[in-house]
Amino acid sequence: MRLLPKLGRKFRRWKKFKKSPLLRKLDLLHETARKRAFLETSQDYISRLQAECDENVVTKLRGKTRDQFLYNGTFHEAVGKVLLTAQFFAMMPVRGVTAKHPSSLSFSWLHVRTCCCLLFITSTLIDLTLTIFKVLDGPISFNNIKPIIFRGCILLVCMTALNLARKWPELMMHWHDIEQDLPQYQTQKEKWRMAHTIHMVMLVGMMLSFAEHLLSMISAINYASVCNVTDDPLRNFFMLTNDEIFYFMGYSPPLALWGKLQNVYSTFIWNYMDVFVMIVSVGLAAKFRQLNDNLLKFKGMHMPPSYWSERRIQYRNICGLCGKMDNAISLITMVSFSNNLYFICVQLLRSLNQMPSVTHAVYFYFSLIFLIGRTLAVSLYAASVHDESRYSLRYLRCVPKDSWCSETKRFADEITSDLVALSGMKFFHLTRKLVLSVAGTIVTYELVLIQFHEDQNLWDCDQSNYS
Amino acid sequence: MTGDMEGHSGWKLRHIFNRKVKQADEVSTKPTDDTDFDFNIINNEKPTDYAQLETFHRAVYPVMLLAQCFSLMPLTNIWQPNPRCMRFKFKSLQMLVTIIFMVVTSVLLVSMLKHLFKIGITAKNFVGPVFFTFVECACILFIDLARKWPALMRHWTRLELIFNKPPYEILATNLMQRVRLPAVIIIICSIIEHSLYQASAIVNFEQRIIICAQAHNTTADTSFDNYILHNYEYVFQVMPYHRITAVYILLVNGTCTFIWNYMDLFIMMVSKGLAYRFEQISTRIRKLEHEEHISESTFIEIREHYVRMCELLERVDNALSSIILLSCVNNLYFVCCQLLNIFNKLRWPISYVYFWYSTLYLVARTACVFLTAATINDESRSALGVLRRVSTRNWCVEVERLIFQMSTQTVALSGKKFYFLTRRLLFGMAGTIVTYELVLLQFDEPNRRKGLLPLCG
Repeated sequence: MRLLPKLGRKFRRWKKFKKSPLLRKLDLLHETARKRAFLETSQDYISRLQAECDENVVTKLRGKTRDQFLYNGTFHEAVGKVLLTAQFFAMMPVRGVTAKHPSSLSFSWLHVRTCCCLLFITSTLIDLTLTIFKVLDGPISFNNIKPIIFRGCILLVCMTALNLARKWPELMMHWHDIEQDLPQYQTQKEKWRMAHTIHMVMLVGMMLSFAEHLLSMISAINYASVCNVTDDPLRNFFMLTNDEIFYFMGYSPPLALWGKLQNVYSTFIWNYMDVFVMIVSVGLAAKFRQLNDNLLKFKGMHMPPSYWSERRIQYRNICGLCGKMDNAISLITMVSFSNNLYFICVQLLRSLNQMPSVTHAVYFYFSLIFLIGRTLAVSLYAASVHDESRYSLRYLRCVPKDSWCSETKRFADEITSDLVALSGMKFFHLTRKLVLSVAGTIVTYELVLIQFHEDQNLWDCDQSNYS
Repeated sequence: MTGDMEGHSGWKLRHIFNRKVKQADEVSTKPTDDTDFDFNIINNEKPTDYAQLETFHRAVYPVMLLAQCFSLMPLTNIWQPNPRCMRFKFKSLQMLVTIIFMVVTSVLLVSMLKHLFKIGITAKNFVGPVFFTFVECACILFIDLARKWPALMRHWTRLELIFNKPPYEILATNLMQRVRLPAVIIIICSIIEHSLYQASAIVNFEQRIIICAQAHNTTADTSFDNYILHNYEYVFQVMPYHRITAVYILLVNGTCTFIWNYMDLFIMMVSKGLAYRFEQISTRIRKLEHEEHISESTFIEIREHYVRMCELLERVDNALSSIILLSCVNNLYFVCCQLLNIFNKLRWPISYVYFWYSTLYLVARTACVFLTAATINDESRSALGVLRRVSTRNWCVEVERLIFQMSTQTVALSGKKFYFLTRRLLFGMAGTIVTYELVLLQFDEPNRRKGLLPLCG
C-alpha cells in the first residue's frame, strides 16, 4: 500500500517537470491567488481564525510582545545580558546594560553595585595578603606560588574592570555611533548572528567552568575524607580549600563561608577574563564582517568613487574603534594570556606526579583540557579580528579597471600596510602566528622545567598545599 | 533575476552573463541531465571533450583510484573525464571499505592502548598508538575532504578551461607527468620501506626464537602463526587467534603505512597542480617582455586570471588545511622520534639498514613536501622581475595593481592559516627540530648507557 502513494507522487512530479519553468511559475502564482481569494471570502474560515485569535490571547506569553524578540544587531544589545550576569559577581558595575540604547549607561561611585565591587576588591586584597604570608612561611618553588599568582591576577582584573566600567558608557556611545554609520543588515537572521555567538560563548564558558568547579569540590571532598584531620567533615573540607585563612586564624563558620564565597567568585572571574576578551573580539570581528558582507554584495561591479570613499571611511572608523577597545581592555588581555601560560606550564608539570585517587585524576585532566581549550579559544577569537580586517582586500582585487580610482588604491594601500589587531599592552599582537609561537614557548619551557622536576608526592596528606 | 545576483553565487552568475555574447535560446535548451552540462557555454557548438583537456582531475585520478583501494577518499565515478559525474555517496562500496578499515584500526588502537597501560607507557613505545591515531585522523579528514571534493573539482576544472586555450601553452613537462611522478617515486620508496620493515621484523623474530631456544634447550617455533602472535600480542589479548585475522591485521598494517605516506603525497600532487597554473601565467608574462606594444586589455586579462587562480588557491587551502596541519605534526613527531634513536645500538645489520633507510626517507619526504608546496609561492612571484621592467609606453594601472598584488599577498598553502608553506618555513622547522633534539637527547642519555638489553627472558 505504501508503493502507490510513492508512485503517485513521482507521477505528479514528472508531470510538473515536463512543463517549462515559466509555465510552472505561472501555475504557482495562479494557485496561490486562487487560494487567497477563496480564503478571504469563505465565511467559516474567517470565523475559525477569529476563534483561534481568542484562544491565542489566553495561551500567548504574558507581558511579551514580538518586539522583545527582535534584534537590532548592535553590540550593546548583544552584550547586555552577559554584563548583567558578570555584575552579580562584582565585575564591571555599570548601570543600564540591558537598556535599549547605550545612552542609558551610567557609572557612579555611589551605586550599590559599585560598592559591592569595592567590597569584593578589599576582601580579595585581604585574602591575597594572607596567601603571601602563608607561602613565604615555607620553601618557595614554581609550584608553590600558584595561589599567589591566581589571587593576584583576580585582583588586577577586578581593578581593571572597575576602571573599564568608568569608561564604558562613553565607549559604548562611540561604538553605537560607528555602528549606525555602517551598512545595515536587512534580515533578522543576520542581525541575530553576532548576539547568538556572544551568548553561546558565555553559556558554554560558564557551564564548563561550573562543571570544573563542581569536580574540584568533589575531588576536595574525597581528599578531605581520606586525610581527615578532625572529626567534622565540613571543617576538613574548608580547612583544605581555604587553607591560607585558617593558617593564621582559628576555624569558625563565618570565616568558612567567607572563604567559600571568595572561592566561587574568584573561579568565576578567572574564567570571565577570557570570556570577556572573546566577546569583545567577536563584536569587533562582526563589525568588520558587516562591512565585508556589503563589499561582497557589490563584488566585481562598477561602483562610483563615492561608494569606495564611504567604505574606506567606515573601515577607518572600525579600525579606530578597534584601537580604542584595545586600549581599554589591553591589560585584561595581557593578564589573561600570562595567566593561561603560567597555569598550563604548572599543570603540565604536575601531571607527571602520581595522582592520589581516580576522582582527582578525572578532575585534574578535565581542568587541564578545559584550560588548554579555553586558551586556544581566546587566541583564535582574538586572531579573527585581524583576519577579518584583511578580508576586505580580496574584494578590492576584483574591482574592474573602469572603477579603479585613487580611492580604491588608497583603500587597498591602507588595508595592506595597517596592522589591525587586539594586543597585550602593545607588546604582542594577537594574530594566528602568535598561537603557534605560544605553543612553541610552552613546549620549550616544559622541556626545561621537566629537568628540574623531582618526583615528590605533591598530594600527600602532610603537604600543606592542596590546590 | 536581479534578486539572485547577490553574494557569491551572484558574482558567479554575473561573471558568466557578462561574458556571454548571445544566448537567446539558453532557457529552452537548458539540459536537465547534470552530466551533459557544459561549463563552456561561450562556444557551445561542440561539447567539451574532457578527456583531451589537460586538467588536474584527469592527471590525478589514477592515484586517487589506487587510494580508494586503501579506503581513502570514498568518491564515485572518479574515472569519468567529466568531473561533474563525481559524487560523494554514503551508500557506496568505497564508503563501506573505509568504514570497515576504520573499525578494525580502532580495535587495534584500543587493544594496543590497553596493553600499554598494563606494561607502562614510555616515550619509545608510545609511537605505535600515535601512529594509529594519526592514520585514523587522516582517514576522517580525507572523508571530510571527499565531501567537498566534487564542488572543488568542478570549480577547478572550470578555471582550467582558460589555461587550455591560447595564449597559454603546455609547458615542457606537462601536468600529468608532473603530478604522477611524485606518486610513482613515493609509492616505490614506501614499498621498499615496508618490505625492509617486514624483513627486519622477521629476522629479529627468527633469530630471537632460535637463540632463546638454544639457550633454554627447547624447540624453535618460527612459524607464521607464532610470528603474528609475538608481534601483535596486544590484539590477541582481546580476540581469539585465527589465521584470517592474522592476514587481515597484516593488510591493515600495510594500509596504515600507505595512508601515512598518502597524506604527504596528496599535498605534493595538489601543490604541483596549482604551481603548474601559476607557472603558465608567469610564462605568458615573460613572453611579453620583448614585445613592442602591449595593449591594456592583455594586462587586464592576465590580472583577472591571476586573481581567479589566487581565489582557487584559497578555496583549495580551506579544504586541505587540516590535512596539511596533520601532516606537519605527523612529520615533526616522527622525525624527532627517529632522530632520538639515532645513537641506539641494534643487533642485526638489517635493522641498521631499515633504520637508516626509514630515517632518510622520512626526512627526504618531509623536505620534499615543504619544497613542493613552496614552489607555489615561488612561482606566483617569479614574474615580478619582468613586470617591473615593463616600458613606460606599456605601463598602465593594471600593471601597477598586479605588481602590488604579487608583492604583498602571500600566495601559498597554509596549515589552518597559522603558518604558510614557504621556503622560510622549512628553514624554521629544521631549526626547531634541531633545538628539540638537543634537549631530548640529553634526557635519553641514561637509557642509552644501558646498551643492548638481554635477548631472552
